[in-house]
Amino acid sequence: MKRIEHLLDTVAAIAIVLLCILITANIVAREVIQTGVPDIIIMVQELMIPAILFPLAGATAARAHIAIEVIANLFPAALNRWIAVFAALIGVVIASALLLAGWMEFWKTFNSNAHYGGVFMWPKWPGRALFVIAIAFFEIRLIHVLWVDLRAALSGKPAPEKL
Amino acid sequence: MDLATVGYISCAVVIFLLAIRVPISFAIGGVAVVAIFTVFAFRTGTFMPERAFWTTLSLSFSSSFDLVHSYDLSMIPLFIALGHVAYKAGITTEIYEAARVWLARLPGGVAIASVAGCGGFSAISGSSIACASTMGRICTPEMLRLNYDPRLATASVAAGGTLGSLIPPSVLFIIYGIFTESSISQLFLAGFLPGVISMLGYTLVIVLWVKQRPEIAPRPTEVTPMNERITAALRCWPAVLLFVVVIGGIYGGIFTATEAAAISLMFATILGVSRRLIRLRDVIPLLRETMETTGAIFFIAACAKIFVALIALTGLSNSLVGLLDNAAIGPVVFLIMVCVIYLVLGMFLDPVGIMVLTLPLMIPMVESYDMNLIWFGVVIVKLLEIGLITPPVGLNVFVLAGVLEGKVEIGKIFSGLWRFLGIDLVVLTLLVAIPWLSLAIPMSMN
Amino acid sequence: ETTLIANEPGPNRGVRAKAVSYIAEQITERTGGEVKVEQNWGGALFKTNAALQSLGLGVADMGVIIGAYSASEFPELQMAGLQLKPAHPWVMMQAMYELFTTNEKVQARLDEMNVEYILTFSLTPGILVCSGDGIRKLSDAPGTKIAHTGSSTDIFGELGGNLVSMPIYDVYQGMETGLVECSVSYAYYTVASKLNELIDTITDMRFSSLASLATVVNKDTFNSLTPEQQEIIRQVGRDTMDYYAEQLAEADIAAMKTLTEGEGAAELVELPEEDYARMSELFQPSIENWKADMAAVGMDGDALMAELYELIDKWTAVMETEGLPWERG
Ligand code: NA
Ligand code: NA
Repeated sequence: MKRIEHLLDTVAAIAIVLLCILITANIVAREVIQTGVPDIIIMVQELMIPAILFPLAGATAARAHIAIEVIANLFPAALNRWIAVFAALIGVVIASALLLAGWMEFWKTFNSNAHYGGVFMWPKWPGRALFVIAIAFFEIRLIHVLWVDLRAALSGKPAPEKL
Repeated sequence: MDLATVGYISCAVVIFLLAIRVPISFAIGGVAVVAIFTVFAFRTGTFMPERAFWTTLSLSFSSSFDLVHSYDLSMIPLFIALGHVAYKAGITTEIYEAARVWLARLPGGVAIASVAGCGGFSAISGSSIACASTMGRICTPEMLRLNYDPRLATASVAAGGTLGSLIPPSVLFIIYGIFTESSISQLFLAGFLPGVISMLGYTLVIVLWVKQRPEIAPRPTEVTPMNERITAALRCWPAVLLFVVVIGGIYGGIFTATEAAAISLMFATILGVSRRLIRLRDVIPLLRETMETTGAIFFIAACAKIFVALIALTGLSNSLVGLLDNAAIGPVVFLIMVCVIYLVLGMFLDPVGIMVLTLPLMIPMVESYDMNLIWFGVVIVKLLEIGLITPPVGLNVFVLAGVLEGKVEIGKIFSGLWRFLGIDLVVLTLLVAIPWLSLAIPMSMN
Repeated sequence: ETTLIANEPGPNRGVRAKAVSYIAEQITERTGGEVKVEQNWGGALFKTNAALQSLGLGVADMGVIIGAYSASEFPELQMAGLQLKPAHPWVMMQAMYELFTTNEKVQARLDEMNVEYILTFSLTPGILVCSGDGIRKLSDAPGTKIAHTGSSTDIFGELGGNLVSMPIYDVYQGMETGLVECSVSYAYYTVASKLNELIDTITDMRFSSLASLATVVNKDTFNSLTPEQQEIIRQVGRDTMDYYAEQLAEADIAAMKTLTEGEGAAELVELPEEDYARMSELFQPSIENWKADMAAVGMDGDALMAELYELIDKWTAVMETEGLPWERG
């Protein structure tokens, strides 16, 4: 799992590099050869999916989802351990909703002729597929977190900081 | 049960979940998904879960997918990456060295420099989030290194980030202009002076705060000789060059404000590589470090988008704005109530969501009072900007906490912000009371 | 009592927004308050690209679908987004309306998508607005920086124009800084977005009146209404097209006046006749692509287009003999 997340984060970083190169190339092409990169907006939009969503699994493993801690710091540790379980459960609800919805969208666009306009008429399914991949690994990691935190809450021992 | 009540309950549940340390994205998104399901299930009066199931999924998907699948927002991950790369390329440390030796005598000099930096960054970016994330990555670590109090080091940047939408270019003014059919260039001009006033206000806060508690911003004891100061200033050339290239590019018609993010990142990377501070093969690992932060921040925004859809479904914003329409009130009370409503909505929703939900109802009332729409736009954008730094949902604060990777706790950032919020209310009052502050520049241009 | 949730992707400004509000008011009024409409603006519930699916599922009960955003999913609608033979906006609406309410294949497809078609919106023909010298003949296009905001600009790429991709709302600033020289626009939108402050020429491209916007109601919601209420909504749809067409015509005349008269008026430019012929050749590939999209959903593009052309002729004849509805004494 760690290795997969490392790979996902790397793909996200590559997507950022591609975004940067594409947009810069578009500006340079406009100035030098008097024509922009065709379908640039569609390509940027599609690249945004891996750039933004692929790192969600890694962020979940690193417990990098931002939370407000002031008040909870006053709670007893045992209560906080159960809150962590509850939080992971809520995360699973959202991730499941997005995964199921994403899968439906993917399946529909994959089995139809759905495509964008423009020069290359890019199909719509790859973006949906990337969304599903991102959310699937996010959900797997969330379930893992849920399991680890549940064990910690039951045993009364602190859960590991990072997974 | 009344639908608006579902909206109010949802907000209350969000506060509760945030308070007990449920991650922000989970709290907002979870409540939104469950509440949307409830609303759809009871649409016909009787409980019909089967239709609600697919509509809830579809709404959750389209809200989050469309947010991420965005050309305009591509500037945010690029600017977050820029903050990181500029740091590794030594660009930011040099500015700070210069700020430190030049502003040594000023109380909280580096914090003031950060606010000024935010003002400068606002001139190249149309988004407050991009402003807070980039400047947070650049300024705050340097202030922490100089032993500034974390509250000052973060709050000054979170507040400074709100200049992003007042000083042109500005996404919020564009959207306001579309909804009111007022001139976007006039709105841009109108926002400039209020942006500068806000900046001066934040500077005042820093000076007074540090005067009162000098230990929060330690000053260097030694006096730096003039020649060293000049050397420090000259060493800032990469940052100055970057700024000139980007400003020149946007206002000289070479690229758009959205494209500026990519140009800046490209420029900083080339600079870092050519100065041998970054190796080309390190670029991917370097960016990988920022990606989890970017993902976590965007996921909050995506969940906030689902929450906006919930508010639309429940008609909560309509019921709030409706309070104004029903009451026969004078213009002063009207304006006070407008401020209160936007501050309340700003506690929970993002600026674009609030505009889309409220402007269609609000603007006809403003017109019926015969108020100037350009001036009103400045007031609204200022109010929305304040919402970015108010608890419980303060996007600028979350973004800052994200790019600092947990080095400063969110509660601490909020606790440093109340002084800045205080001055914001003063500036807001001035903007409401003296329309000239907003209208002087656009009028003189005609 | 029923409340319909409606979603509109645009702001509550402009001629079409007026018509959207008119639909809501009329439905409430004519059903005696039995059916109300809760209108959302600015895509508060969903954006244009998710409209078809969202309305089919019932995320909102009523809303507009734009052909260009679902060109492959709903090519029948996008047909009116192609450059067809020029026709009056009101004629385009009537022709599309008749096609969509009588053609059985189209109706089967609407059923499949789980939506009830209510009416079509048409735009006025697009114009090319430029700052500086502008486009006076197609050979001026090479190297000219043209805002690329949608498919109607594609042909300028073919002609060697320097397409600058940007969202439509960035065009004003882009033209102000010199990032773009030209943009495809509409007379009314040019004035509303204050672009008229910056432009010097308006080139008549003889574009068609695009009519690929349709208001639909979720089928389940529609079926849950009484037959009387259903008929009222259908009638409101028909009436809205006349109401909207009148407003559109007025706004277009007023906008053209603002654009071409008084201080800082823009110059109206016609292309040489052979250039217009060249343009319709350039539009051929997009029509071929559309036919492929039609085939992919099991529809015969040629047949449907022939039917639309007949209807355009029929309604043009009606307009010529009887006049436009609001001009008939
Ligand atoms: Na700005
Ligand atoms: Na807030």
